[in-house]
Amino acid sequence: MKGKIIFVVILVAIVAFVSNQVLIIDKGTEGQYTGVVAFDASAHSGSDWEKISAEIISNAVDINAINLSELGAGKAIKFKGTVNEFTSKAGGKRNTMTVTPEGYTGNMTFTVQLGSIYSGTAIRDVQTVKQFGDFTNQTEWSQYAKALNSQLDKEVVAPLAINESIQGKTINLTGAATASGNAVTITPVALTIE
Amino acid sequence: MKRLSVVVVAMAMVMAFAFGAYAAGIIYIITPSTSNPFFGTEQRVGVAKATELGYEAKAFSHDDDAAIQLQLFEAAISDKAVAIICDNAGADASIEAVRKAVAAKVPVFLIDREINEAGLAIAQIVADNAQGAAAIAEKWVEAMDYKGKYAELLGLESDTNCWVRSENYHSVIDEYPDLEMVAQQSANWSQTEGYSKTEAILQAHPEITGIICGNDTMACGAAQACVDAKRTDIKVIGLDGSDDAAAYVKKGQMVGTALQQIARITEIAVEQADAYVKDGTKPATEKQLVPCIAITKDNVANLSQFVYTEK
Repeated sequence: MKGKIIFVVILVAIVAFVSNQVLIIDKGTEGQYTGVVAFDASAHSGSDWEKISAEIISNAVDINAINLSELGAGKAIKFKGTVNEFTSKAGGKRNTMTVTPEGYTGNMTFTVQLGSIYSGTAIRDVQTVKQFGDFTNQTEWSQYAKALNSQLDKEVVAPLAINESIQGKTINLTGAATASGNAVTITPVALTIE
Repeated sequence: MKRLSVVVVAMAMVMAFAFGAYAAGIIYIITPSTSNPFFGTEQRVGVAKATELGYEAKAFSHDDDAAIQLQLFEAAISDKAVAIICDNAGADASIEAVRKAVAAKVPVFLIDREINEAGLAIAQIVADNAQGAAAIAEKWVEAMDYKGKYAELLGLESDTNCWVRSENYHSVIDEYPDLEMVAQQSANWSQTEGYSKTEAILQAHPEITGIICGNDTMACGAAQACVDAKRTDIKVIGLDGSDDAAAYVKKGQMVGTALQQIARITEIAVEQADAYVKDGTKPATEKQLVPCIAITKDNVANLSQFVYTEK
């Protein structure tokens, strides 16, 4: 009996001690204590977009001044050209247009991505504001590329509300270009319609 | 007499210099079993590049056994190797071997797989699986015309790469609401399981028009099951860039795969080892990503033995 009382007293003392030491942290606020905050690619890309678009615009080379077979993973390019055909797929989520740059005489085809979803990582890969080392892993680095693509849609392409009526018009385009075979794909960073 | 000894010493110096230029040292190339052509490419390309740069190259397999790997690292140390290029036998299990080499001042350059510790190896150069998965998923959604029901074969669920690939497939696919996943099962990276799981899925969900697979071996199993069931309308993708997958792509029985440029990765590792041996130059960052290349019928002819050559 005596042993039981001593046991209970010790137990109560332990519980009292532990509850004094333990800090209850509400779900979702762990980051304030651990410094580890859930990754938010859109937060990064939002604040970086201005710097990145400025960098790509200032580095952009005229498309007729470069060897297109060496575009590889991406280069910042610019040109003035004529829109040939506007195509809309996936219920408007995959809009593109084919264009012919002024003064271009080769046999490459030029397709400009117009969103709302963009494929590839060209914007991320031609910028130098952020590097892979700034992110924890491959998936975050991949999400960052997607977030930059959404940012360009919001800032550059969506406000233009492009549709079939763009066919035949003259455009001024700056963007990140990649090539595969004889197909050049351009993700826009600045686009104006004359 | 004195003059003669000066001449002898001078000649010895010249010979030592000439010999030094001939063999700049030994480079060890340690990989998993070469029964998998992917790892065979690592050894083949690693030896070729090291020899080209004037080194003596020695290639070994650890067969994914950390104990064998440790012995090979110890052999490299006692052989006074100037560098070790390694595709390691486990992210945690390999740390000891790498640490031992570093302590013996033998620099380590890791390829293909990372270890769970930074600051030991001079370089960890891996394929960008996240980008590769997204790139081939983009080709697949296009082939699916952005709609339809599909199944997914996952790799070994305890592997990080299984989820990196799956998450990045879905980062692309899930943006299209008309693409609906009706089955998701693990086939453990295996071709036979890829085949049998696909057979079962085709029975349970005959309405599917696509199957996305976490690697090429499962994709080859899935593609063969579709061929045998006369369901060549089903769009299959994998990831790795193997010659087996390339053969299905050529026959139109797979939409594509994403090539992990392991030959390029191995060359980069040997080049960085060479720079480090010569004057201590380290790469800008330890962890480096090499992009994958989406392979479809349009460019599959450029692929052979994990080497992509634009023609």
